[in-house]
Amino acid sequence: MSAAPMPTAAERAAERVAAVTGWLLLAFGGARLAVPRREAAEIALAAEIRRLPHGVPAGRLATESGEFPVYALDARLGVLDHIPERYHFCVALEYGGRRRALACEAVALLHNDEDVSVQQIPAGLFAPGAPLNGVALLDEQLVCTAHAADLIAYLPEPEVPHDA
Amino acid sequence: MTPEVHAWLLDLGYGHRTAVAPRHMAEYVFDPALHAVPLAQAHLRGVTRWRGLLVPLVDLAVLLGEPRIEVERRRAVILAYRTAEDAPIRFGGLIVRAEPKEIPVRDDMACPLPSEPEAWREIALSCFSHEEQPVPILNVAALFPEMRAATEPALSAPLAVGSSAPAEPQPLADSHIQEATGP
Repeated sequence: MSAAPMPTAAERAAERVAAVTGWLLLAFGGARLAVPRREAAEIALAAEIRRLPHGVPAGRLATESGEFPVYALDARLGVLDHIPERYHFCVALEYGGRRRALACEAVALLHNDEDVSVQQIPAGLFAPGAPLNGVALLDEQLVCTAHAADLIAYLPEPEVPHDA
Repeated sequence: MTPEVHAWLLDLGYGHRTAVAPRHMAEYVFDPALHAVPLAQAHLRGVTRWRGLLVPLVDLAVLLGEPRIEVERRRAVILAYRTAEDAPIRFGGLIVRAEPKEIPVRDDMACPLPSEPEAWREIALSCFSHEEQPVPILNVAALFPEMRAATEPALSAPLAVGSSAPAEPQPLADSHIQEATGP
């Protein structure tokens, strides 16, 4: 009797994406990033962020559940050392007891999983450490998809832990 | 006389050429719209919509170490491949510089893989000589690896997939072309 074949990374990613129930669509710097809605802990106004002098993370957000770091990304998903003024919102993501927030220009709720028809990109075509697992077209514009776990792993660790 | 099969000859630019079996060739597309993907390897130019699918478009010349060039109207071929015998068919695109050309290939045309660029050893099945120049036969599935390489120091680094292809000439008609052209 032979053992069942191990699923590939792409198959595992597909399974995880298949389990989503609605999406949060974050827009920043011309990029659009969709994360499963249930992986977002909360949405806050950027006005509530305590901005830090140039560095990473670029700010901190204090809520009833604690204080945690806030990051800002550019269109290429590079980590910025400041939060641009036009980033008016921030979405807190949580995985494995760690909470990190991403600042963005706009955030939209897509109730239906089908609103984002995700197609896998072979993982080897992404740079090492890239948190993305798929792409979709929404209104003829590219949307990248990622899970909170991969995004949190992608963001640099703050010098002082601020786990919620 | 050795049996003759056919292959599609693809011009990758910078003098690089490759060949694929006819069953890999899905379509030749002219001036496909391209959507850039963030955090992609340098040779992934983006994704394009093709028959309702988003297909990754790879510039093999960049993987072979050449600089990116932008052209006014790009050309591409959409290739079909499987990652395993019983796996579903997948599609990936390859930037080309000219219209694909169908050519005959025979076993007696086999030749060693070119020693440079080294990336050929990761993505070529074997090689044959055409017009007195070596033409590597592309391992299409290796061009679209499902797994990230264990060590990739730079975005432009060659893919580290599978084992190195042998440098010695390999039989063509009974393996890489003929088998791939089966029903």
